[in-house]
Amino acid sequence: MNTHEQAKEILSRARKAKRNVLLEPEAKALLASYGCAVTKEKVAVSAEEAAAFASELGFPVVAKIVSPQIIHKTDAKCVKVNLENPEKVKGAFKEIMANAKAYDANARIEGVLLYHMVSGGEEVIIGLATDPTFGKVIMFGLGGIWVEVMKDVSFRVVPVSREDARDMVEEIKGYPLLTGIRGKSAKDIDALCDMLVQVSKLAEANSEIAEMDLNPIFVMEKGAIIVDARIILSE
Amino acid sequence: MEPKEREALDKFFYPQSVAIIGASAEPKKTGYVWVKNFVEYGYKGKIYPINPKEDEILGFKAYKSVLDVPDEIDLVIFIVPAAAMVKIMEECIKKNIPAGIIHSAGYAETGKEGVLLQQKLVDMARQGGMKLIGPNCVGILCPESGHPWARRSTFPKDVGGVAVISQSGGGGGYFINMGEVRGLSFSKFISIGNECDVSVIDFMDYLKDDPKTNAVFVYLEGFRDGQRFLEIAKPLSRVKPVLVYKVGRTEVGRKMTASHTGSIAGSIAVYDGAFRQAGVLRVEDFEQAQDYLTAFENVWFGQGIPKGPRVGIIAGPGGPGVAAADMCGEVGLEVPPFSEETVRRLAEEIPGASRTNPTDIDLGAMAMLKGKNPFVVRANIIDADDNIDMMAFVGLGENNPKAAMDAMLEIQANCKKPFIVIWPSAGKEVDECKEVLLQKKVPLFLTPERGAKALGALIRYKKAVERLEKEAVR
Repeated sequence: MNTHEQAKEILSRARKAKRNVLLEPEAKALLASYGCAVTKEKVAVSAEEAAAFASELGFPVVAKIVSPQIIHKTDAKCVKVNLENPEKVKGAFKEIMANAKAYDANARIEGVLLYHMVSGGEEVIIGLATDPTFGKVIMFGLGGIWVEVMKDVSFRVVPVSREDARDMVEEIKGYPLLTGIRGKSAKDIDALCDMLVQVSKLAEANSEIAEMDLNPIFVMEKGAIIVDARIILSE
Repeated sequence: MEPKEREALDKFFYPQSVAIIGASAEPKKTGYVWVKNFVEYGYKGKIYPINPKEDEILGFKAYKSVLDVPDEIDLVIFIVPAAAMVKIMEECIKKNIPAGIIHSAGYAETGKEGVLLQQKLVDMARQGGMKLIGPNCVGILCPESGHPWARRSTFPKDVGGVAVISQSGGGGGYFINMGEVRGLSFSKFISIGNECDVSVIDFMDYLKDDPKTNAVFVYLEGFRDGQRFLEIAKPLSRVKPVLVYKVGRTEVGRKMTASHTGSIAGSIAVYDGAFRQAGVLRVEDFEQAQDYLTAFENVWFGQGIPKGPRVGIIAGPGGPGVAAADMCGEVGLEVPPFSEETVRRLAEEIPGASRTNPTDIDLGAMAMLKGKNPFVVRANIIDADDNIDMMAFVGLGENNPKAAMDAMLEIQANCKKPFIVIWPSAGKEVDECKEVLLQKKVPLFLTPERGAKALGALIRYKKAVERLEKEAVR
């Protein structure tokens, strides 16, 4: 199956199930089909399976609920991070299941998603929105307060060229954080630009994607990896 | 743009004959002003006032209907109430008139019925092969052909290289009158009004191949089709600088624009991104637009394109020189040290002069020059410096403005590097000298910061063109 077909299949599966918000594993698979690096992950349906998967993926891991009804996973207390050994993973699995039921007793639960916890990179965000004038637009910013408080973001209209991607990264005020300051190492800006271009291609080829929130993405010394992804389809 | 499309839009600027429907013999009415403006602006084509109640208006025979005019009509101007428009439009279509300007208001900006009427007129015009501008606009201004707008103000006298497209007739007109004072002159002005048919973007496309236009300024509330803007603006930016003043940036402003033209004003951050993508320069206000256009007209298209971002600052008083250097740094320009050769020559030819960049002119050193002008001596030395791409002369003083003026004209005649002059106003004598410099197309700015920002805009544009070229190759 080529990139295009893989993406279409993921999207049509969600459509058939009448979901307009993709599950996190679906969103990541979609991004991966366009060559974006995403965290390696597995979905476990029991505490024992979770512990086994975690050992396979490598500690520490992050555990998150997978449920179409639970979109705001942190609010539902269904995210556990920095789990360092099988015992902690088992405990987290049970806790997440209980919290999910408490949050929404009718929620359909598909399991608990596990992935190796990334660290040592600079956190950034790539977003997609549909603008009334320009259509699909891509947003870029640094993670956390940089986006929320400082509004330090840049926009470009899809399709985003390689030159556009470079400009949008260089244009934000926090750019020096990526080139390496105060003894921090320089991050892989080329990989980040590739990702912006690929996200733009994904949005261009699949017009039903209305919004994306790739947050956080870790830009490492080598490579950039999407840790969490939310993709919303048009109604 | 297709040649056929281009020819159709040409009729707006270079009509051989104009019918003015709603022309009036009553001096207080717009229908009178418009006829009078055609006469006063020196329009050479034929003028046909249309008014069933008059025999003659300002010496021109008046007709009851366009159908009575014994000649072809290239352009029709509608100054009639919305309610009477359908019948009049029918007659104009029958007469095969290719272009029309609906001056009057009372359409889409008034609500649902207005929207429907406007659409009906557009449908009729499109079927009949007529292009429309407006409604709710002051029309077109073309100094070259003597085609006037509907405003009661004065007209720009000279033909120049700046084209203006405005979604506000008043705003655009105001800009042109202000710009004239700054020494700018214009190729074309388009008041687009409600943009019912021909759009801002269509005219941007038209101006790309307009041999009279060097640079385009757009006073913008919002685009209807952002994707098409990018499609047209990218190739346009590659050949001509495009400046946009986007209003409706704040919540208050946006409410105003919604009621003004009925167009959708998106988030300014998105517009900003699209502008950068298209190589378009966004300006903060009218004054900045005029500063940038002054730099484009007189530096870029006058003296030549700066080779790079390095500025040599030659200041009268030290302070304003430092202010200019600071702003250069903020807008992406460089103020590097002068070359060894420059430092050596400065020391030799002007003992005691400061040899750092910015260099300022102190009175002690001035005495050493024995009558030679301190700006000219420095300019000649720095003009040969390979570390410097352009020069800024800051603060020419008010003691002997005539000498300063002559110095700038000498520099303009002899120096190879592009330069700007920053000279705040200081009384009548200074203003008279500045007027002479304006006439001679010396790029003049009022404050060091504004001058530096304008130079920064040139370099930003230069980079944008390089980026667009690169993108176009791939």
